[in-house]
Parts: sequence; C-alpha cells; structure tokens
Amino acid sequence: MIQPILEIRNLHARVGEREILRGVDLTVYPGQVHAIMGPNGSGKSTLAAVLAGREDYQVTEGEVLFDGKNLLELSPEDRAREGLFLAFQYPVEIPGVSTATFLKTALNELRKHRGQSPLDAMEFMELMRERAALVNIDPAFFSRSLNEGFSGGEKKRNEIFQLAMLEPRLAILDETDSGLDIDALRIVADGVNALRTPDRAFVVITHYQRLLNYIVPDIVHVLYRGRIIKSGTKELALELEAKGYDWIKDEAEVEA
Amino acid sequence: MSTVSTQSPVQSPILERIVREHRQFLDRLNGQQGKHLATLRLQAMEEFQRLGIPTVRHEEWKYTNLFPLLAKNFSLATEVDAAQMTDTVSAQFRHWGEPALVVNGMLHPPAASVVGSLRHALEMDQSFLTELGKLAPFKGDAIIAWNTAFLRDGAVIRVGDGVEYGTPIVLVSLLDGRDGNVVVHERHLLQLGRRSSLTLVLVQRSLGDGQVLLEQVLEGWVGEDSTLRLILVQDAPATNHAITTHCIELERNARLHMTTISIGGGFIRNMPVVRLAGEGADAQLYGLTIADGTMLVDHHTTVDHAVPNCTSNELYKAILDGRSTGVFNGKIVVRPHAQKTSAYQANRNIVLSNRATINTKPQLEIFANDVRCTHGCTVGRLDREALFYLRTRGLSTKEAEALLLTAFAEEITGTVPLNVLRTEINAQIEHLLGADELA
Ligand SMILES: Nc1ncnc2c1ncn2[C@@H]1O[C@H](COP(=O)(O)OP(=O)(O)O)[C@@H](O)[C@H]1O
Ligand SMILES: [Mg+2]
Repeated sequence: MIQPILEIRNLHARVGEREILRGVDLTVYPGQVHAIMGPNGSGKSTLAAVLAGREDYQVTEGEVLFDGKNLLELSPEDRAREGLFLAFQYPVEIPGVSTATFLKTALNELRKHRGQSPLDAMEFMELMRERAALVNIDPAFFSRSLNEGFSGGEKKRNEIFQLAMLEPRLAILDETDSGLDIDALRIVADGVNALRTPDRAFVVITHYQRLLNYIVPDIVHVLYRGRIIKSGTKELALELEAKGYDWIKDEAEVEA
Repeated sequence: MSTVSTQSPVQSPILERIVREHRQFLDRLNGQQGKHLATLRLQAMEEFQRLGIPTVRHEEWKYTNLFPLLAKNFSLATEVDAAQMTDTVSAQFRHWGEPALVVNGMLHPPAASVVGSLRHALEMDQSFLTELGKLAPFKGDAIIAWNTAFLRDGAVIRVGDGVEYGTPIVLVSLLDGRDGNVVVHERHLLQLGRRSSLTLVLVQRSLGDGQVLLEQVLEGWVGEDSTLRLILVQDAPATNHAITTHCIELERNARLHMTTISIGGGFIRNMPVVRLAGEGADAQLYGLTIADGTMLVDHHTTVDHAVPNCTSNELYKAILDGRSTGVFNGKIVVRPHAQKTSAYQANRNIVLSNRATINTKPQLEIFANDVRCTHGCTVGRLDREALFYLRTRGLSTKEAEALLLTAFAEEITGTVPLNVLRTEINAQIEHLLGADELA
C-alpha cells in the first residue's frame, strides 16, 4: 500500500484565545493535487502556516504526519529539509539579501540533509538558469534583493521558482493565483504542472476556481470556519464558482 | 592656573593625574617647539581644567560615561624607537594604499608623499600655528582642550589645486601598550586645494596587552570642487579605545564622503563635525557599529549648514549584542541664511540582546525656513517574518539571522569607496556575524 505524504487528523489550532482550525482532516498521497477552497477568513492560510511551522499558532489537538513522521515536533527548517514547501500568500521582502545568495544557502542546506554534496558556483548558476526558465524569470533577478520591489506577479513567480529549485515532496501553494493576470496565471500554472511528478504532491489553496482550469486537482475541499466541510472532484470547484459558497455554508450550518 | 576645587570629587584624582602628567610633559619638552606652542598648550590646559572632564550631567555626554574609561589610569605615551617596526606595520596596510605611521603620536612620514609631520611643519613655520584650532577651537570643548594641551605631532596632509591624489593615504595610529596603559594624543591637519581629491583611511592598532586610548583631533579643509573620502576603520581588539574629533569644512561645491566602521574596540566616541561653508557643498556620512560584550560605540555627529543650497545625508546603523551600548546623537544645525538646505538623517538599530542598550537622539537646530530636513530612527529586533520565511526554505535560525544581519550591515560597508578594504571589512563582518559558515 502507498503511504500518504501528508496525514492531518483532527487538527485544532488557535491564536491566543481564538480557535481558528477546529478539526481539520486531510490525507494527501504522492502524485496528487488537492485544492482547498473556501471564503476569506476560513483558516486556509492558518492551515498552511501551521503546517510550515509558524510559531504564532498553538496546536491544541490532533496530529500531522509527514511521510509518516510527526511534523508538528519539527522546526520550520527541519520541515523544509524533510521536503515541505510553502509558497507564501504574501512573500516577504528581504532587503540586501539576493535571491542567489539566499537560494544557494537554502539549497545546499537541503542537499546536506539529503546526504548530497553542495553545488559549486557553476552548477548552481546552471540550475538557477534552467529552473528560472520554467516560470519565465529573468536571470537579472538573481542578484536583486529577495522580493524587494517585485510586483505581485513577480513575487508569486519567484515562489514557484524557489519551489522548482528546492524540489520538495509536498508543496503548499497559498493563493499563488491572487493578484495575477491571466498570462501570469498561465505561466505559474505551467510551471507547477511541469513540476508534477509521481512522488510529489501539491496542496493548492485558492479562492477562485480559475486556477484549477490550469492546475487540475484530483480532489477539491472546502474549508469553512476551520473545518473541511465538503470534499469532491474538480466539478465541485465549478459548482462553487457558479453558486458561490452560501449553499455550502447553509449545509454546514444544518449539520453543525 | 586655576584650581581643581570646582570639580566633583570623583574626577579630581583623574584630573590631577592629567595635570601632573602635563607638567611632566612640558618639562620633558623643555621649551622645544617654541614659545608660541608652549603658550597654546598652557592656555588649553587651563581651559581643560576650567571645563573639567565631561560628566554624564553634561548634555553632550549624557549617554557616555568617560569615567570608567579614564579610571584605567592611562599614562601619557612616550616616544618609542619605531625604526624597526615601521616597515612591518606599514606592510600590513600597503594593499589599501600608502601607509603613514603615527607611533605613540609621532608621525613617521613615508618618503615622497603628500604627508608631512606637524612637528616639522611647526619648526619650519610658526605662523602655521594660526591654522591650528581654526576648525577645532579648544574654547568650550574639553576634549579638544585636552588634545591641544598635549599637542605635539601628527600628520599634515596637503593636496594642491587640481591634484586628484589617486592612492589612498592610510594613517595608521600605532599605540604601544607593552608597558601598561597609555593615552596618545594626535593632531592632524588636512588641506585639499581646489578641484582636488583624496581618500584617507584612518585605522588604529596597538602593541602589547595594555589598554590604549587614542585621542585624535583632525582639522580638514576641503577646497572648492574638491572631494574628500574619509574612511574610519575601528576594528582593533577590545583593549583599544578611541575618542575622535574630526572637524571638516567644505567650501563651495566640495564633497565629503565619510564612512565609519566601528566593529572592534572597547570604548569608542566619534565626533565628526562637518561645516558646510560654501554653497553647493555636500556631506555624506555613513556609520556602522557592530558591538558585543561591553563595547560602547558613540557616534556624535554635527552637521552645520552655514550657507544656502547645501545637502547632507547621514545613515548610521548598529547591531548590538551582549551588554554593549550604542549611542547615536545627530545634531543638524541650519543657520538663519542657509535656505534651500537639504538635510537627511537616519539611524537604524538592531538589538540582539536584552542587556544591550541603544540611545538615539536627533538634535535639530533649524533657524532657516526654506529647508528640507528629515530624520528618523528605528530600534528593533530582526524582522520575524523574514526569519520565518528564510527558515521555511531550510535555513537554520542562526543562518537566517546571519544572512539578515549581514545584509543590514552591507548597506553601510557598500559605501566604502575602496574595493580591497570593503572586501576585507565584509569578510570580517561575515565572520563576526557567523555568515562565513553559511552553506
Ligand atoms: N496571527 C493571527 N492573529 C489573529 N487572528 C488571526 C491570525 N491569523 C489568522 N487569524 C484569523 O483567523 C481567521 C482565518 O484567517 P486565515 O487563515 O488567514 O484565513 P484565509 O486564509 O482562509 O482567508 C481570520 O479571521 C483571521 O483574522
Ligand atoms: Mg489566506
């Protein structure tokens, strides 16, 4: 039997007194693409942040297994080294740190963890060029400060570029489509599709169905008030697009 | 001579010691260097005693207490035979430019250079004395009075009209701490003619394990359309202390580009005083402090806009760890007629430890009305969001911090206009911040 990459069981998380995740269950297998949709404020970014290890959130109940390991006891960097990647909804601007310097450190850190030798400067540049081409990133970006002064679209492409460089087992994309025009959306989606492999999985968080025309999901979930209240095939996304979220909210309220 | 009775009890022993050493100093000189200079020294000593050593009750010394430093009982450094060491020490700085050594305050000028010694200049021409103190008058300033009282030698650097002096001059202050704690007074004069330029590097080194205090005053004139690039490298071990007063006057369209790198030493107080005296003059001042342990670094800047249409910009940054102290006091004066002045000032601090202290204070004295002046300061920890972002990419907290701190520092080291020196400073900083171990 194939082991899931990610298994979330009854995950509860809070900020201060406020419970934001209220029992999330989700199982992701290698090769799959899961979409998580839901109205603003449902807890989608919180789920992504808890998985990536953001310390603002306190997990009060439940467990998360990543490749069978207890994810929640790992530091953010160890999660990354184990193969988890989060494409941020709002990538952070880091003045003075070039994309190249940062990525070289990150990649060699991951390679060390995987028992591989560090890449030398030439190999690294070669890899950067190759992967940048996937998302149409100009090599001139390599020497610019990370995300500083990048347009919204450039920041999102830069996230996917990092994904391509770091080759994670599981990539969580948090609203990577928001703020993108249709051309940029295509570029990002093509990049992601090129990175799909039988043993890599994606969790694509999005507010709009649009992205899912390009990155076709195996399963679509609706997260609402900190719970997955409905799961289905990609047709569910179309239905949500047509009918909005209200009918699902009503269903959920009835069940609750 | 006045008495010391008006001084507080804590300072009298230190002051008395200085007065005693001054008497011995004058005795040793035994009238050499002429009567005028002797009078100047006595007057300065009188002023020093009148003012007393500044205490923390003194507004300009509120955050920086001189007494723990002076309690180290520095004795006045005496002349040492420097003949054997000049070559070896100079050799360490030759790749930066043209080294000129000042050993315990006495200049050992290199052959064929724009650098001469103040003592020779004074021997040749006592009228030269009138230049001394024009930019750094001792009246009302205890440190300059102290310096003038013990004035003996230093460098005189003169660059003539139209001369773009290509090789940087590296003024190395070598202090001999082999026989205990010593204080050294240096007095330098710098004159750039019109349409000329010079890069001057100031750096401090010591011999032996004793504590050494460099008390340095520099007076510099930058003539019309000329450029002075001044780099102060403070990277010596913790036994090295420094009190510097650098008074620079800029004539019409003259430029000053000054970078101060304070990443090593015990007690450091820098007082650049820049006077924009000709229209179109521009002053750029950059400073970087990286302090740990009990290090104290105080940047006490004065930018004086005396005429219209001048620009100034200051950016000072500090990274403070351990029980270190950082001070930034940025005084900007805009005189009543200095309309169309642009003056910017920013002070950015990262405090890494709960026990580190930063004091930052803008001091604006603006008497003209058509002025653009902005100032700002920030004190904070490292950006948590940035740290988290980097960690989600596999960097350890230590690596992420090193990367962010290095980037913070490199904004200042990037202003060092000398490639070899900048590279060396960056390497030192990466080592200090642990960034040299990055994968
Ligand atoms: N760090 C935080 N502090 C306080 N409230 C938070 C924090 N993070 C998220 N929340 C709240 O939790 C809810 C879910 O937020 P979020 O996970 O960003 O939703 P989504 O990504 O689905 O729009 C929102 O009401 C938000 O205000
Ligand atoms: Mg969100």
